[in-house]
Amino acid sequence: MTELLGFGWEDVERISSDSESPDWIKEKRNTAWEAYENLPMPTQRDEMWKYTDLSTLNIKNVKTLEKSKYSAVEKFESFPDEAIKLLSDEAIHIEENGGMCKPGLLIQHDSQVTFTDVDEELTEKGVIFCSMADAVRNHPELVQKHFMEKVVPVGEGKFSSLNAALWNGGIFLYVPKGIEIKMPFKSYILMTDGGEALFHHSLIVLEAGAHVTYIEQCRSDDYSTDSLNSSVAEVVVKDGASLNYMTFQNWGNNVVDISTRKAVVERDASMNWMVGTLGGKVTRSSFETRLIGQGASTNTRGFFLASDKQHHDFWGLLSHEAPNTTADLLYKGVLKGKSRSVFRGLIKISEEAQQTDSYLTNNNILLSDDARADSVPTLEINANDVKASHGATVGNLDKDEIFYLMSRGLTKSAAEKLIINGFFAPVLKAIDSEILREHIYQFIDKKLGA
Amino acid sequence: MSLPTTDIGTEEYKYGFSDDVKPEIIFDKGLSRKTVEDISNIKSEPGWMTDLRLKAYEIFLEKPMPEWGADLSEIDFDDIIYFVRASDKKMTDWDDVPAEIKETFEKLGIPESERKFLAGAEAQYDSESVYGALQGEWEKQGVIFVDTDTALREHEKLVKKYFGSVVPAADNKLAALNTAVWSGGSFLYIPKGVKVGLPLQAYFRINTQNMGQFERTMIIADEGSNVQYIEGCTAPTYTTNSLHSAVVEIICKKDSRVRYTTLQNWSGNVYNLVTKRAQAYENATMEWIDANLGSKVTMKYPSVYLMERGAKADVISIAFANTGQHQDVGSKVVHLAPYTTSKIISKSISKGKGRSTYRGLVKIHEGMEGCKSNVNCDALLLDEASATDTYPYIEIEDPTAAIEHEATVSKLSDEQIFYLQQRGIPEDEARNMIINGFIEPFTKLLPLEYAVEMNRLIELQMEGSVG
Repeated sequence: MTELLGFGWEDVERISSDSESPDWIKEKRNTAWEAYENLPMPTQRDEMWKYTDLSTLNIKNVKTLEKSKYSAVEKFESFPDEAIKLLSDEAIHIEENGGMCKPGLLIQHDSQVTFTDVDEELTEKGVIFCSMADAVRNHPELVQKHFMEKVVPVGEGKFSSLNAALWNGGIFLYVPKGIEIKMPFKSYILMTDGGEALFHHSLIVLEAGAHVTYIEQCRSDDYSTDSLNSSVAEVVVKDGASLNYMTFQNWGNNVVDISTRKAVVERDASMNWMVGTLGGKVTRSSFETRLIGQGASTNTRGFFLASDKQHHDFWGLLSHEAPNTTADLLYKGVLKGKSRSVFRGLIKISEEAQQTDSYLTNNNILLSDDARADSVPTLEINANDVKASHGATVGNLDKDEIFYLMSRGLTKSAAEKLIINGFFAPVLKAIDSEILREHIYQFIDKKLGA
Repeated sequence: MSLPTTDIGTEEYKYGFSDDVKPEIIFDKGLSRKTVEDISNIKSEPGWMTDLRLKAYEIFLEKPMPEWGADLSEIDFDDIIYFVRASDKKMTDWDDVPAEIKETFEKLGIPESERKFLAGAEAQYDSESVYGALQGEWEKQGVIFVDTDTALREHEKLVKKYFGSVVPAADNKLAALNTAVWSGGSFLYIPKGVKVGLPLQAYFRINTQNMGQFERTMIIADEGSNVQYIEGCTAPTYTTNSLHSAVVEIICKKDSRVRYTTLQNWSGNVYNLVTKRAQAYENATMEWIDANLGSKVTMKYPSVYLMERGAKADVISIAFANTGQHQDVGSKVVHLAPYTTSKIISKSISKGKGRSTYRGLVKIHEGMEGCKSNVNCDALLLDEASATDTYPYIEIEDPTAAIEHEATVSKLSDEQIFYLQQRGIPEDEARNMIINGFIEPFTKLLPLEYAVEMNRLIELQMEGSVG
């Protein structure tokens, strides 16, 4: 078998020498590269990759960019046209807010964050929202403690190690004790060319009692050559804090996305994930939540709409490691064309995690004969005073429901769209922003209509 | 609230006696090409069977040990006796069976139930059957119910046609091992349209220390036939481990119905690694009813391949894992034809440091429209130390499928116990009542005497759990 990826030691050296990064980061890249080289490339023989075949991918020649081709922009309007095109909904939003991006907006264009706008009042209070590259230079005392340490340690996975060796973008969000911000922090990751490799690395740390929302969106056009995005996000939510982390992926049809996002949730803290997968060629998203403090909770909502030959592989872990923890995961998907989906979920309850409630649900609708959905919702329970359940369904659209709607004068396709919107509603209603929700519904509509 | 854990060793294992029956032939420990040839020679088997065994032996050597399930690292294939013959001739009448063996069966209640209820009984004592009787009536209708060795001698054509057709030697390492060294087991053939009213039953027992039992059971239900088959398994409590690795192959032809019931109560040092598979053809129904109470490790996933339109699979299983036990069980249903349905109900109870695992697969192939499948797993945890896992695999390639899977994990509800206590029922009885209620969907499918036995076994396992 030929190698899946063509990266080498010289890529690590090039990135290390080019950037103004501190020594400890260079060392981290070296150790991570070593770990990457020692770990075997996952194959379908590995249980966790059973349904996703990486060997057929054509991403050997993707290139990492240590510096983005694009220089930093001061004003949102100064982005090049191809980027503006991908940000149309955000532009409307900014215009409506009188040109402001409060509390904070970061835009990564290819491998670098080229646009930063953060509310200065928050900066004065100690809130940090900046690119990862800036963070390692300016806030090493905060970053070093968490960067690839306890949340996603170096060597945990093949792709997360590769990310640690070659990372070239990403954000850092730090919220000090007790600060509560209603409006969401936002970031965009834009890819405006084919054949690229992005290694986005984010770190979010919420001190005790902080409450924030972060929305991350990946976007690109369709290009003729395949690209790779391999992100890692590390999240630490301290006592009593809460984070809503939303991530929507709408890559073009030639992007392979293999990403890991992981949160460690402390006492009485809560971590809410929202994940939407709409684009991409092959997507493997991994969401892991470790509830390590008493009373910690997590809520994960996810949806996908796959068409053509898209392949969506989702892995969700709810790890209960302390008493009185609660978790709920709901993942819903619709498949068209020759698309395939994989859902793998695990509720893991350790011996000490008594009085725990945990729920995991996966629902899939197949719209075509050639689509395929695999679902593996699993439980590993080592404590007895718990309530845990999971459910999974795979089915098609209910003919009776369609008939009913048609008898009320709807066309068949309108009826189908209405039922699918209703199917997604329990997930999408968790999105506060109307503009964003509307944007997602529009996209779903467009994709269903094709 | 918590329960004190009870070590399985302090509880009485009802079938833990070992009988002073001198084996007529006993092999040395270990497995080689020669062992395989010797087994075949002793039985004067036809050449094709010897070849099949040897081929399977090669496959056994090549195949890796399964690593995805329970811990099997303690199994030493060289420390197992592969063939023991209890008495060298077959008994045709109950009166001719040696007194010690009879006593064993007496203790187990076999002849009693045989006289009262059962149409035929096949008892396997170590490697070969010593006693088999089938009521004349069924025999007249052409029902064949013999041990598989006899079947090979007297119905070679049938055996040759179906042996390994459902579970080929290459299926997995232990199926290969069974194919290489199999001995005994039941062979059941039900001719077209014959409906056997009463359940046929077989009994398997390991009596020799370090013994490996490798029975091979085959059931062929011809078109429109109907049969119920029940097997029970026990072993004495020895200090060293034994291995039970059976293969069961079932063919349900058009419109037939087969119900296969297993009550597995091996002692706590038996590795129970069994491959059970059925093929169901047009409108046929295959039911697996599977109870796993004993053994150290059980890995067993009765499966059904739904081969033609309208075929149906029903699997209901319970597992009880006490301290030192791992019940890694489940079911596999593969929908290979349109309009096929399956239903899996799994109930597990973990007590002490026991671990029960549900591992299952429902697969619907592309183009198989109108398939339905429903899977339900409930787990009950009795102690803080007990554990349970659920690993259901659902693979759907057809949009018209309707698939549902649900699993729950819970402990005995304090409210329910309190309610019963309030009505004057002591706590331990209340617990038993709730547990019996939990497994009722299972017990109600058993013949009466088995249901009673089952409840008693559970009570025995539960003894001392209220301190």
